[in-house]
Amino acid sequence: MARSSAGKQIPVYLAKNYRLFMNQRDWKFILIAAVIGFLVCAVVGNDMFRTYEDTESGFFAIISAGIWIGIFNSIQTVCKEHETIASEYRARLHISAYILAHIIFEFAVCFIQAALLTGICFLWVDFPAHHVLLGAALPEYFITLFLIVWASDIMGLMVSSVSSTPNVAMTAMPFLLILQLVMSGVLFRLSGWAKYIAYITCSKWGMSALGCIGNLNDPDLPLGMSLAYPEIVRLSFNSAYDPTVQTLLTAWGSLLLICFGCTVIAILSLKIRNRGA
Amino acid sequence: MENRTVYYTPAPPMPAVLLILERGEPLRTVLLENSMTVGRAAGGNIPSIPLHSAIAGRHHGEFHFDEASRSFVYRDLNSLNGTYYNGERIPAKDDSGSEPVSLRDGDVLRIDSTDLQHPDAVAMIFCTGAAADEKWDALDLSDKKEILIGRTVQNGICLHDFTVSGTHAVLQKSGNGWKIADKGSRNGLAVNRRSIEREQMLRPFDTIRIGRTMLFFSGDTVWWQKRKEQVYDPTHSDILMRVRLESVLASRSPFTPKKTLLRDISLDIESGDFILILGGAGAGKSTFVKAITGQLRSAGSQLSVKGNVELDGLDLYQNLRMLKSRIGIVPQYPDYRFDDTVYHTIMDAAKLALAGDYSRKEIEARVEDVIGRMMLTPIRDSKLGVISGGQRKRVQVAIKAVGDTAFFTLDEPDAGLDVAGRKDQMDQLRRYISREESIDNSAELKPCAESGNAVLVISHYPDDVAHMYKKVIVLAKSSRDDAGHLAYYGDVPNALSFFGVEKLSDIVMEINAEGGRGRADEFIDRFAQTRGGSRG
Repeated sequence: MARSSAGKQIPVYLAKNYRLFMNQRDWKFILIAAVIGFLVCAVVGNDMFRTYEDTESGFFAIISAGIWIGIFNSIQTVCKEHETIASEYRARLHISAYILAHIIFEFAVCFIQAALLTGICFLWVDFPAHHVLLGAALPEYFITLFLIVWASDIMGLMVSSVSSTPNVAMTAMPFLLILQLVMSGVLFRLSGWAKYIAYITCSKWGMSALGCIGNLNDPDLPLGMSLAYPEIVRLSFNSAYDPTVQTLLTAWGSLLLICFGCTVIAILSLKIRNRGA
Repeated sequence: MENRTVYYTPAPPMPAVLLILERGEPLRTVLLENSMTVGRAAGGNIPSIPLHSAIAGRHHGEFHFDEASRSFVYRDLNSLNGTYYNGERIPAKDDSGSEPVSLRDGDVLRIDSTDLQHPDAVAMIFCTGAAADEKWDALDLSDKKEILIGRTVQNGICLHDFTVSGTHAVLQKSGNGWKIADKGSRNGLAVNRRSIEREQMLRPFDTIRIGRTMLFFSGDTVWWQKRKEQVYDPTHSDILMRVRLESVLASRSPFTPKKTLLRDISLDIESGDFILILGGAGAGKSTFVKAITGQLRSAGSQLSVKGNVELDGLDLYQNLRMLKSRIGIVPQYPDYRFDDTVYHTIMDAAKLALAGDYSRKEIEARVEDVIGRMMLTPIRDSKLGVISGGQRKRVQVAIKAVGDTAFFTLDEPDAGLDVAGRKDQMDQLRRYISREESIDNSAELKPCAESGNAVLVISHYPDDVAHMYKKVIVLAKSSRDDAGHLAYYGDVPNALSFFGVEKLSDIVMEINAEGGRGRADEFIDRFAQTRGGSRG
């Protein structure tokens, strides 16, 4: 016995997501992404690529904005319609089709948001031309920001699937954000178990990718103190920022793995929740 | 558990026929009547149902209609070779014969040897809803390797049944036998009343249920009813759901003790029924609805059911995946999206239920039909967030009705409406769900030929539309075991006289311990006694 296949249900939910996006005026999230990008650039723009610390902080601020935008896109998406999902599950809904339709739709939303964020950053900040893989810096920054926003969005979807109500999801959101920020490795040096937890955060891999593209390990990028004391030079470099193709692909791949992992958890949690429906 | 009908007069039962297959004989259909004997015709002995098989006794068995259970029963008359009921030999009870076995649609009685392979075996298949002169189609499998079964004419076996998929199943030769496999159907299939996941080898005289159509396999031939469409006959009683619950228990975790929420609930729900459930606080109305709709997990509790529930002749719990799409649960809370339109909400539900099996045109036609019947045309493009509560409830029903739902439960469909709104609401819901429709929009309702759904309603305003309910179920919490029991099942006028009240809402006052007269135990006992049980 089979229900109409998951593949056939995905377009149904894609169309529904689009209608709800328009009817609920969720397009405001796209404008919010632009405003956040603008604010972040206004704060960090002038100092980026002047010193190592300023550049790292600037990247960190942009990544934090991307994570916030992504999670905020989807944190209430699933939890507010658990009753509807249960009812539709009884009427032959494939949970995988439901989640995948959300992920595909959010792909488009995140694509636009990442494009806006990248565009605003490039307008405001004088990004160096250094690139690693694609022959130009812009597409590499764009892909990285897109993956950060999309992976965070899917992480938000996962939290939303696990949460029983929008209140629970919104309570979990700050913890998720703090975890992401703390685990980036920028604010604190990570050691022990924290190092391993960092592997499942978008911030760590986002920092690695941006640090790699922006060449944070460039010996010519001075430390803040070096401006006053030129004899102070950087002796150690963060291997996570090595400007190599491997570093960049590892970071992108890890972000995609986070997307995959969160998708699986979202689907499983909804299946478990609805197993008696 | 008794389920005797005491407080309503049901329509006569659906006619039942016996399909008889004997070696070298064509298929015979015999219309079953009360007290018929079956046996070998020899000498002067001519039983009502004569057989030719040498292994059949002269007085092999007998059929009669049991008024208490309102079903046909069969009794083996201590025949030499015995009778096998769905593959199990019916044991002898005393010198007069065996214990009677109650017959249900698709049951197979066999006169056979113990290995069920005797060449002179006789198979008698019990079938309801078929006339004695009804044509049965047969397909000889002897020169075939593969036969497709489905709704469309391209199939080798074409079934005219909405619940059957375009191509539903396939019969395939496998070694010396045949197997049946699901071809990704919407509603699945069952062999001998048990749904199969992928494929199953068939044995002679297996019955196959596809949608609402019964087929049976004789080893070298497949037989099925030749009918244009399944039609509901309101002049006959057709049991849609049989509920035989010994107890329903709930536990919050495997480590906490189970609490009995319901006990001894036994009743039959017929096609076309519009039933009200009444009960005081904690009487188990919601638990009852959950138990008979297969929702065994809710609000952190796990329900376990002793007893069984049958829908359309199939065990609900054994065939839950197959049957749950036939049950439409309309909850009190919103299970829709406020920012989507009425049309798209119903259309998406139709796509979930029917896509892959029906063309876009057919689905659109069905959606338009449901929207029209549910009087939603004027608001079809409105968002659900802006329409009235009553209209939303009708959309909820439409979402379920657009598929092939046969049994609906409505939880307070009239909540939040004024008196006129409640009457109108219930009238429209009943009209659509039980598929009665007005010919020309006049007040006169005409039963539609394709009717046959049943509806269970929980309402706190029963008196507004008391005349609409065909039956009432009253559940009451007994002070003896703190569990809900059946205190009444029957029609509305009898309910009022049984409880000695003038309004249905007063029944709750009579049985409620808190704020009422606390007579639950008295009515539970009285109802059990009138059914032939003993209590108290």
